[in-house]
Amino acid sequence: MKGRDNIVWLCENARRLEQFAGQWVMFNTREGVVSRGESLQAVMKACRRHKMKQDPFIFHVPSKDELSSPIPACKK
Amino acid sequence: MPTSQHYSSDPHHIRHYEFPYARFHGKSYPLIPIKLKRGRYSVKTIALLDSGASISVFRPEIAKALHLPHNGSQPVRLGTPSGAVDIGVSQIEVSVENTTFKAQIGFSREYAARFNILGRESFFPRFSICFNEMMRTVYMLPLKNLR
Repeated sequence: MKGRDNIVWLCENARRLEQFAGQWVMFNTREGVVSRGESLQAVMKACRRHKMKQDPFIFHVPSKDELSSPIPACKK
Repeated sequence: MPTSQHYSSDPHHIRHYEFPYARFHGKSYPLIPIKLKRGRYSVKTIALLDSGASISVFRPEIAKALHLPHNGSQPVRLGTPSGAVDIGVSQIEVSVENTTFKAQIGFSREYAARFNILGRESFFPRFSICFNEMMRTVYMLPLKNLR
């Protein structure tokens, strides 16, 4: 399973993921979102209990407010 | 350039990665899959390729997931439009598909970027990167594949 497949899955499901804005989601392409919540630690813990068929990706879904201004460039 | 992912039986074919932009709240972003590894801890996540950022900055929760010690990183002062923030920079093993190398990644407890950000330093020199805004696709050619 290539990482690209996960980006393709993210693109196809981005609209649906927007309802989880501000939360961490854990997903893979076979099972979709397997865990979500405001704390990454809790999401990862819940995921460990769930025997996954594929290594999951974690992603923090940005909120509309966060994306309303340009991404700040990080300059040293 | 081929339209799908890069693995050809032709030995002269240059292998590249291509990722479609992901669209959130009406805007498209060049997000790529990345794996971070530190010792026995690893995290697979998604990060924004940002050619306007000088260094990479990931969300603080990722540092926690990698069990990074608070005092084990190099302190750096970072300028953002909302003011200067202090971050800790650590050397982390990163993988993008089949390309693995060590990169400097910054983490901050006070600054949670909306996306994990991959900046130029220690990441961009590993690839030839093309942002195709019309196709909403980013192409990444690992530079070791050109040697």
